[in-house]
Parts: sequence; C-alpha cells; structure tokens
Amino acid sequence: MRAIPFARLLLAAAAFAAAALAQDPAVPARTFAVRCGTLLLGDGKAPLRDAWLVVVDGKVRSVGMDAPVAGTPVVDASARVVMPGIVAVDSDLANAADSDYQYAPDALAVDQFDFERSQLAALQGGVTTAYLSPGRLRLVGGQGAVVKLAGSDLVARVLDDTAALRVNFAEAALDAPRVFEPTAHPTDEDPLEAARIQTPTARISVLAELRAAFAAATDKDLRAGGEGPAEHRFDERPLADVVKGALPLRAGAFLATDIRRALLFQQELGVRMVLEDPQEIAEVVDLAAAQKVAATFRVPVRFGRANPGGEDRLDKSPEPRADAAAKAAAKGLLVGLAPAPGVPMRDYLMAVAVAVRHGLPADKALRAVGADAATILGVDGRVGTLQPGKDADFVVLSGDPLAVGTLVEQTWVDGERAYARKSSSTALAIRAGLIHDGAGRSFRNGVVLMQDGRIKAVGEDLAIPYGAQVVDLPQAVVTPGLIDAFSHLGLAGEGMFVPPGAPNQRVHDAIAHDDPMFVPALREGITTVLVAGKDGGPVSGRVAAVKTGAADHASMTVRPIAGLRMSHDAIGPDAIRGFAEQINRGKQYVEAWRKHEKDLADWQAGKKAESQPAPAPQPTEDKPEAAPVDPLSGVWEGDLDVQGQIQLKFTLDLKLAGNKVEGTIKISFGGREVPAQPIAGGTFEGGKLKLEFRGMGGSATLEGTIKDDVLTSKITLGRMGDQDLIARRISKSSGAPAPRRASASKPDEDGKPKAPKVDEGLEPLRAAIEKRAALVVRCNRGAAIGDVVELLEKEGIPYVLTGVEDLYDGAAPLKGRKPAVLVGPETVFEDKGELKNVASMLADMDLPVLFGSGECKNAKLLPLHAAYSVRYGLSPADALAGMSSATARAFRLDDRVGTLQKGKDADLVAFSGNPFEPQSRVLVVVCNGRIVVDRREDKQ
Amino acid sequence: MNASFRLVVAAALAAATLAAQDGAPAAPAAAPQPQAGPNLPDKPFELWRPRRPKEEKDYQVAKWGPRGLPSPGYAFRAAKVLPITQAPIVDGVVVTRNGLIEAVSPAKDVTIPAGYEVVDCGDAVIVPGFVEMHCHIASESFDLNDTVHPTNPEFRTLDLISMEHDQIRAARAGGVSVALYIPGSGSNMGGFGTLTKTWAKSPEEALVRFPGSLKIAQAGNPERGSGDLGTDMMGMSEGIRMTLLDGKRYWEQHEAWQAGKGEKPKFDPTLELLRGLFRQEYLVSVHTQIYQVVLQTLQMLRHEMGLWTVVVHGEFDAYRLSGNAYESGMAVAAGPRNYHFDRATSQFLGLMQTWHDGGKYYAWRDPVLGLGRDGVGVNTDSPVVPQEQLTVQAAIGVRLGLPHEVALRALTINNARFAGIEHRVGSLTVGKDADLGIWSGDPIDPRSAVQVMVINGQICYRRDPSRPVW
Repeated sequence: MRAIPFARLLLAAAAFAAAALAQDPAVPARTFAVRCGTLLLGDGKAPLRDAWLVVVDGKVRSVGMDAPVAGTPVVDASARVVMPGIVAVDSDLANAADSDYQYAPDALAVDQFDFERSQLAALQGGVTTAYLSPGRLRLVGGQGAVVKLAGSDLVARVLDDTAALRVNFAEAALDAPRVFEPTAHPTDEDPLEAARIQTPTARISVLAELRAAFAAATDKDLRAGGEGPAEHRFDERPLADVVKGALPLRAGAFLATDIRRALLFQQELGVRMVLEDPQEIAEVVDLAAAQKVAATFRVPVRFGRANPGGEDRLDKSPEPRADAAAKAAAKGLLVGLAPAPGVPMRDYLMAVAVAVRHGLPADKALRAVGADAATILGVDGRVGTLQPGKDADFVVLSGDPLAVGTLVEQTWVDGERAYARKSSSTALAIRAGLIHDGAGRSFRNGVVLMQDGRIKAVGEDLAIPYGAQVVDLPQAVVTPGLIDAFSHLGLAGEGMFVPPGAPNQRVHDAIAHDDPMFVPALREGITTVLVAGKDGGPVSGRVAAVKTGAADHASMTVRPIAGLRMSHDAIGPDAIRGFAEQINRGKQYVEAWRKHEKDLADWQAGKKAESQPAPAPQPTEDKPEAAPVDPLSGVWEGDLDVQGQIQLKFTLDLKLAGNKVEGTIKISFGGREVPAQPIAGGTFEGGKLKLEFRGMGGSATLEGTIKDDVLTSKITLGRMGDQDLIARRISKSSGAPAPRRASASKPDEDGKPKAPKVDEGLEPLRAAIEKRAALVVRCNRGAAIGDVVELLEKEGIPYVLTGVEDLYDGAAPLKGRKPAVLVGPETVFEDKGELKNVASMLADMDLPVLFGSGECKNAKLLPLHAAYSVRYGLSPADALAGMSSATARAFRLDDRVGTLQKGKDADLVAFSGNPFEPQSRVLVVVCNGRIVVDRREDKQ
Repeated sequence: MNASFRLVVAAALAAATLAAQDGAPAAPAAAPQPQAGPNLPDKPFELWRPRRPKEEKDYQVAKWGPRGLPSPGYAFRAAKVLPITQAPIVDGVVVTRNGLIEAVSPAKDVTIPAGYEVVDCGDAVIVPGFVEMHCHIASESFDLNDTVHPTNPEFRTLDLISMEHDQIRAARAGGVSVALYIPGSGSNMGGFGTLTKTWAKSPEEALVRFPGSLKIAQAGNPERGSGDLGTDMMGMSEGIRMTLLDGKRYWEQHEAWQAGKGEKPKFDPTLELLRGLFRQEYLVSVHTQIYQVVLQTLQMLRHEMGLWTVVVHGEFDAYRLSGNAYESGMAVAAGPRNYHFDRATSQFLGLMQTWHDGGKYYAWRDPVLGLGRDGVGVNTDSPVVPQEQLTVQAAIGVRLGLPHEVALRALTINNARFAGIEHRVGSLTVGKDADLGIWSGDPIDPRSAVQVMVINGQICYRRDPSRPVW
C-alpha cells in the first residue's frame, strides 16, 4: 500500500524530466512550420503568398497567413514555391510483368513493387504518391495499387493495394501468346495437347469475352455473353467486386473505337471506370462526359529522346494526341496527368507544362497532379491537397511549377524530408528587369546565365537550367562589371613602392587578391581595375589588369601587362625622336623574339624531318660502384618546360644522411648556368623525397618519389606555381657531377637556337607592339598629340591618350584619327564662367572616352564621377562604355571583360535603378562568377 | 453511250416500272419484261419468313433504331424522280422533313409548305438510298475475325461501329444509305451483324436494327482451319448445326413458356440472339457460293432449321439452284464477283441475270426457274470491293443481261425486303425514311455520280467536283 504513492512519485518525476527535455513546452512534439513564399494547395485555386504551412505528426495542421507559435521550428521557403506532393496518376514503377494468360485479375502490382528501392528520380520530380500499374498487355491484366514513394514503414506507405482492376480494350489484348498446358502424365485418354490459342484475337470478340467473364463472376444478367475464359483458372472475386462497385475499372483504350467499347461496357455494367490514356477521346468525349468517367493521360512526348514511331513516315502506329487531356477536361471529365512511358519522373512537371501548352488550363493541370489525381485514385482523403488533416506531403520548388528551369529543392513525405537537392551546380542566373550588355543591347526582364566563372548566355526569357542558383532582381538594372581605367588600387598609397620609371616592375605581383582596399570599390560595382604606379618620366611603368573580387591570386590577374604608361609633350622639329626611339627599342626586341621563334620553328621542323638516328648505344662504361649505394645519393638531372615559354634544367647533387638530405641544387636557365645553391633542408623517408630551397623569386619546394633511379616529383616554384619534374640519376656518387659521357649527351640539343635575353623593361612595349596591351600616353600639347598619334598609327600600336588639354579646343591635331582618351576623375571644369564637360566634348568628337579614377582608396567613387559627367551632358551609354566595353577594347581586354556576352568573364553589377542616378545603389556584384557583394538586405 | 441513248434508257425504265406497284403482282401484259428469259416464274418471288413479327413493336429480341429525328424541311426537285415502286416522275419533287418523306409527286402537283427549302437539282435523277446487303466497313479497325472457335453467336458488330472513316464515307459517295454490317467469314458463325445508316451523328442514331442478321459462312473462307475448326464440309456443318440447335431449343422453350406451357428458361446471353433468329425477327445472311454449298444452305438453314435465309455473296455456279431458291422463298444477293465463266458453254454469265431468269445459256442442262424480279439482290463485300461501287456491281449485271429495272430494284426495294426493313427504306414512298440519292444521271451508268446524298432528311454529302470520287 505504501509502495504505490512512491511509484506514482517516480512516474511523476519521469514525466517532469521528459517535459524538461522538450525544446519548448508551448510547441507540441514533431511540429514544424514551413514559411512559404508562394503556397499552392493543389486545388487549382490562386496560391497564397507569404503563407505558413504547419505540420504536426506528419499531417497538415493548418495553412494560412498566421505565423505559428513562437518556438516552432521553421523550414524557410520564403523565396520558394510550395505545392502538394505530386500524385502520379499512372506509373510503371512496379515494373509489373504481364502474365501469359489473358485473365490475371488476381495479379497485384503492389506485389511487384520494390519498396526498398530508392525512388530518387520520382522524389526529384516532386512525386510523393504513385499509382502502380499492373501489366498492361493482357485483357484483364491485374490490379493496380497506390503507394507513397518514401517512408520507412512499408505497410504505412500503401494507401491502397487494390486500387483498380485493369482491363485492356486496346490492340495489345488481341495478341496474347498461346499457352502450353501439358498434362502431367500423358495417356491416350489425356494426351498432350497443342498450345492453346487465347481469345480475343480480334476486336469483335473483346466485349463478348468480357461480358462472359464478368457474368461468370457474378449473378448479374448481362445482355450478351461469350465463350469467356477457357481452362485457365483465376480468382473471380475481383471481377465480382467490380460489378458490385467495390473496385473501379481502369480501361486501357487508345483509339476512339476502343474507347467507345470501353464506354459501352461501363454503361452495361454500371461500374466506376477510369479510362487509361484514351488519346483519341476527342471523338467520343460527349459520351464519356455523359457517363462521368475519369481519364488519365500520358503526355505523349519523351524529352530529349527519340519518340516511338517517329523515325519512319510510313509507321502505322496511331498518333498520340497531345491535346487529348485538354479536350477531355473541357467537357468536364476528371483528368489526371502523367509523363509518357520512359520519361523519368523527375520531369513530371515539364510533362504537365506540355499539356498546358496543348490547351489544358494551368489550374486544371495542377489539379491533374493534385486534387483530381487523388480523386481518380480514390486517395483524396489522404493526399492531393494541403488541407488540415491530410498527409504532410509537399514539395519546395525553386519557382513556378510549370516553368522549364524550375527544380524541386525539397520533397517531404508524411512530414519527413525525403529529398533535398544538393547544390552542386556552379550555374548562377541573375534575373533582372533591365540588362545592358555593354555592347549596345538591352534586355527587359532578362537573364544573365553564368557557369564556372564565365557567361553562358544573356537574353530575355532564357530558360534557367536545372540546378542553377537563381537571383531574382525584378527591379534591378544590370550592367557589366565596371572597369576603372586608371587606378592605384591594390598598390600602397598612390602607387608608391612601385617606383616610377621602372617598366620592368611586375605590378601584378605586388598586388594581393584579398587586399581589403578592393572591397569599397567592389561594393560600388568596380570589378576590374587597370593598376599602375605613379607616373614619372617618359616611360613610367606598367599597367596591370586585375580583378577586385577574385578568389585567389591566379584568378585575380586578367593581364600582367595591359599597358605601359608613357608621356610625351615635347614640341618642335623632330621632337618625337626620343619617343620614337623608345618604340624602336621595343621593335628591335620584338624582332629578336620573332626571329628566335622562327629559328626555333625551323629547327624543330628540321629535327622532325630527320629520320630517327640509330638507337643510342647503351652506356658500356658503367662500372659497379664500389660502395653500397642508397636509392637517393648521387647526381640527378631533369628538364622543366614552363608552359612552353621557359626551359629550365635542374641538376641536383644529393647525399643521404640518415633520413636527412643534404646537397646542392643548380638551375640552368636559357643557356646560362647559375652557381649551385645549397639545399635549405630535405628528408627522404619510405621512398618519398622532400626538399626545400631558394628558387625563382622565393622559396621553392620539391616533393616526389624515387623508384629505380627515376624521381617523379612536383616542384613548387613561387609564382610559377606547381610543375611536374621528372629527373634521372646520372651518377650514384655524390660530389661534383660526373663528366658526361658522350653517349649520355642528348643529340637533339645540338644546334638548338638560343632564346634572346628576356628584357623585363621592354616586355611592356613588346606586349603593346604585339597588340596584347596599349600604350597610355600622356600628352597635352596639340603638336605633341599630333606626333604621337601619327607615329603610333603608323606603327599600328594600340594606344590611349590622356591629358589631351589642347584637344578641348578642337580635334584638329588628331587629323581625323579616333584614339581612345582616358579621362577622370575631373571631367567638368569651370572655364570663364562656363561649365565645360571634357568627357562630353571628347565623346562628341567620336572619341571613345575611358573613365579612370586615378585614385586608390577612392576608386570607389568612379561611378559617381561618371554620373557627374552624365549630369552635364555625357550620354549614359558613353559613360557606361567608358567604364566597361570601351575601356576593355582599348586595353585589349575585350576577350575577357567589358561586356555581358557569352564566353566573357562573369562580372556584373546589379543596380537598384539607373546606374547613373545618384540614388541608385548596388544590390549585387558578381565577379568571376561568384556573388561577391549582396546588398539586397542592406538598409539605407 | 451518248445522251440520246441515256434518254432511251430512261424511257424504257419509265415504261417498265409504270404499273409495277409495290407488292402488286406483275401484270405481264401491262409490263412486258423486254429481256426476260424463258423461265421466269408466273408468280412473283415471295420471301419465306412466315413467323416474322408484323410490327416493330412486336419484336422481342431485336432493337430498332430511332426514326423521325429532326431534320429541316426540304423539297428536292429534279428532272427525274425514280420512286422504284411507282412509275418514274418527270420533273418531280420529293418533300422531306424530320427524317421522313412527306410527298413524292410531279412538281406541278405539289404545294411546297412554307419554310421548306427548295433544292433545285436540275437535270439530276433522284433515287432511294441504296441498301448494301453484305459489307464489313463500319469499323475503323478490320477486326471482324476471331477465327479461334468455329461458331461465335456471342459476337456482334454493333460494338464496333464508328461513323467517320474512309469506307463509310465512300458509302455515301456511292449512294448507299443503309448497310448490313456483318462479321467476317473467317469462322462458320461470325456473329450478329447490324443494319446501320451510313451517316448519323452517332452510331446510336444511325442504327436501323440490331441484330441486322446472323452471319454464317458455310464455305469458301472458314475452312482455312485455325484452332479446332473442322476443315471439311461435314465438320463445319456440324458446328453450325449444333450451335443453331442449341438456339432452337432455347427458342422452343421460350415459345412454350409464352404459350403457358412450361418454365421460363434461364436467361442465356449467348443464345438470346439466336432466339430472335428463330422468331424470324431477322434473317440469317449466308456467305455461300458454289452449287454444293448453296444446296446445303437451302437444306440445312432454310428447311431443316426453318430460318429466314438470304444468300449473300452468291457466286460461281450456284445460280443453277435458282429454281429451288424460288420455290423455297430463299432470296439471293449476288456479288462481288458478279459473273461466272461457264466452261460447258464457254460463256460469261451474269450472275444477277442467271439468278433472275434461271439462265438462258443452260446448254445441255435442264432449264430451271429463275427467282424473278423480286428475288435478286446485290452486294459488294466492301471493303473487298470499295463500298462506292455497289452500283458498278449492278451495272455488271445489266451489261451481262439483267433487265435495268431489276438492277434498280435489287439495289433498293429487294435488298430492303431481304433485310426486313422495306417498311422503312428501299423506295421513295411517303412515310419512309428520307434517304435520297441525287445522281448526275442513271445510277447504273458507271459515269454517273452522286451529287447530293440525303440520309434521314439531312444532306450529308455533296460532291466536290474537283475530286475524282469523293
């Protein structure tokens, strides 16, 4: 007696503990809410916006606008479309085989269905419930079932194991095989009989057969009968169930004549009937409507595949009617939709969209995979719509269910997430109200499609590929990523530490890809900058083109040399000579390289032409080494070819001590030998070699494996990156390399032309002369301008002018030439009480105007400087070109940046409005295909 | 042929049919038959069907299709109207409304009611819609032979009819308004055929009567022998006989029960339609063609079973049974092979003509009686021969000696009577169905074509002159 209250106390304590473990006492267990941007209920009615779907214990608790109680876990689909899980009104998922016998009413499709198998394609298509068809060939093929396509409780997944009895009124039922029914012990009285023919073999006997079979299974007096099924025994109860109204008939009928006979049978028996894929229903649709039958259709197109019967114009197979579902629905038939046989279920909604294309109203089409589909299958109490009490089967879609690029992101079955899309795609789509591609075209409600850092397509109404990340900016104006034509961004101060007058200085090496100074410019849409140090002297320095939003240093550099800044302002007779000499030096340098390339090509051609010499004699002087030798010690040689440009020869003299490696490394370059350097450190363990040494402009490492005197390694050479190096041991004794044996020398090195010396100081000029870069020439005086323009036009060298003060008075010095002119940041001057807009004036002379900020920290203001010029008369198109396409063209960067065109770098800016309106702000910036700025949520 | 000859033909026609009223005995003095052979019977042929119910309402098994469906009021006026069972009318008018004929008379004698549309057919000839006695055209799919079992009394063509496909459209273009659409002859008893109009809004509206007939194929096709079919005459006849005897017993039990003697037999869906056959609500149309087989038809179906029997597809040398057929009241529709090469005389014989008058070229054989004017019909077996060519079959008959008048009767009132629908169709008679073929000339002339076809009072076909046929 005393123990009982004690037990109660224990129970109470346990209950208290359980309650304490629950996440929030106000929220029942297994409860969550889905915040839906758009919520379709499956009933074909207008969707709810910004609605909540609340799920408790796998069932829909509520749908509506009211937020759930605080503390409810939330699945955020606020930027997504949520709809009921698709009810597939027909499928071949059971893979049901056909019996040999014409009558197999007791064959159940559910028995053939593999519940353990993942239905990934269906879940990817948003299908959560499916009708499983039995075999479709025989007269009475069996019974279909309705199952859920996910869930661990196999029994609970079956909504109806005997959903319908399938009867075939179509051609295939006339072609059952003969059946051989041997007697077990043949005697004279009971002999072996020939295989039995199965009826019907012609349409005239189909109804007669069916009447007889159904009459035999019931007491009902049918108007006429037939021989009916012969010896084969089967369970007649399903036929009786049909007559009693307990089991609907699924009538397979394609041709109008078959549909008509199916309807006749329905009338005679007075049973529930679903016509299965009655493609020619239009001809008998009034009759079908009067008899209130339902119909399921397979949308007759297989996407991206050959379609049966289509390859031969003489093919006699009946034409499917894509508008059949529309015709049936128009007369009030209940219609269900499924994709054609062979179409993966992941394309279910695309098939539905095709039915809409052929006249089925979109609301009916969605009902045909929702409410109506469930009604046809008799499972409308459970699925098909998202109403309180029904199963929480729903799909989260990336957009409009019927849009071509919409994909299923999540599929939920009974309140459990059965599928979530992995976002492995690198595709990015920006949809915007207006897109200026920078090349003169504009797109309303356009799309920029990007993948792997490049632009794939730009246009209006582009299909978004399956799996793409979509950014919707319906009000935004998208332009190419902006280019600052002259900037010190990335360099310290105003280009300090890159000294003026040093064109040999590799500007891009001095810039870090993650320089925080890039961020403000990037936030204003500047994705590319043409960086140079401070000007000074006639040849001041290189211009490098770099991205401000790159992920790493390698992808930061668009061009190491995009230009060379020079100046010339001398006037008078022959004043251009100094400038021209610079150009001449460059030309000679280029000529030397051209000659080398030609010699090299000739030499290589000659080498190819020579027949292969006799095999080199095997070294015969190899003597066995006196001392036992480890696998490493000795002299190793290997050649390295860096991108076909630089040929290096490595000589490693190594000695193993324990697992430590000592020795020297010598790198020969361009025929020059440099002194051997000691190795900074190294190890050799288990056949793996690691070395560290000072290499090309920094520390270098080598990692590799040794096997049979061959070293296979990866060598990291500072900025040259990783290279594969294979070296061979030419001597097993450490120390000075053994003198080369004649037989070991490489005959193909003989006579190889020597490359000219690389002159870093002349490389920028070489790039310009080879039209890979532009000279940026500062000159202000008219005569100087004239001289420069004349010379560079004659030499055909790309150039950009800057300064150009005398051009303000007229374009005469240009003599009709149209060079690009770099301006900014100041373009509007007050001159004798009048405002002069330099950019506008130059643009009026038909000169491409390029905007450069000339700043570092304040490069971010470039778009505003351009806007100021627009305020005083520059056309916005010229202003945009001056920060995109014109700049890219002038600096020969137009293969990469400047316009939104297929194949170009995926750099763009989305503004909240007109890019030149001071009120507009940047919403999104994409650089190299990555969203690097997303200011959509920023509060002003 | 030239125009004047055609006028002569028309005049001869007029003379031949002047006094020949439907049902009235032919008066030889008043209506000389210009091409009659020596063996025409004294009395007109009389189809043997004594038990046939008198009125449509007396039918117990067969179902009659609707009549008098709404149609506009029309007055078709043409240079000639051939009512078949009345004298031809020059400048005549046929008035139709709600699917029926309201008047047939000379234009001068008729007052066209207000609101009726006058269709002026000019020089055309108006004849009744023709009746096809043996065809397989009503289904889109030629699925009429199940050839597994020898007899299939449970089969019916009614389930297969579809109104819009090429062959049934060709029927209208050929002037055919009613077709007896029967199962194939791949098995001995192919099932029950349907009498259907060749145009209507639906098969239900097109129905004239179901069953139209029971189709039996005695020989000349079913012996190809699939399944357990007997392949000789004895085997095949045994199957037919056994099945019919089952039906006969069932009918007799019913008759006894209806006469107050005995129990009502348990309803048997398979035998129910055979009961109607024995009640002579409809005929048995027999695919039977050579002498020996037609003799068997006569003996077994007509005499032993006592069925209303019509030979269809009657070909080859069976015409020598014309006298027996005449005496037994067994009618014959000939075609589609409408001639026979008689080796004894090296003559091409026209089958319709020989059935009609017993054969003029009997040579050494004993002369036999012919069936006479009222005992000969015609069929195509379409789509074996296109349905459009029913009149060509009749033209072959005329070319080989059949009187022109008999050919026209064969196409119309004779076929209609054989099928038991002569109270509905087969002549231009007030109260019959408004089925009219409006032809560019004499329908037997192969150059003539249907200009307009009217079925159940509806214009359902107009010839497109830019197309060769239809």
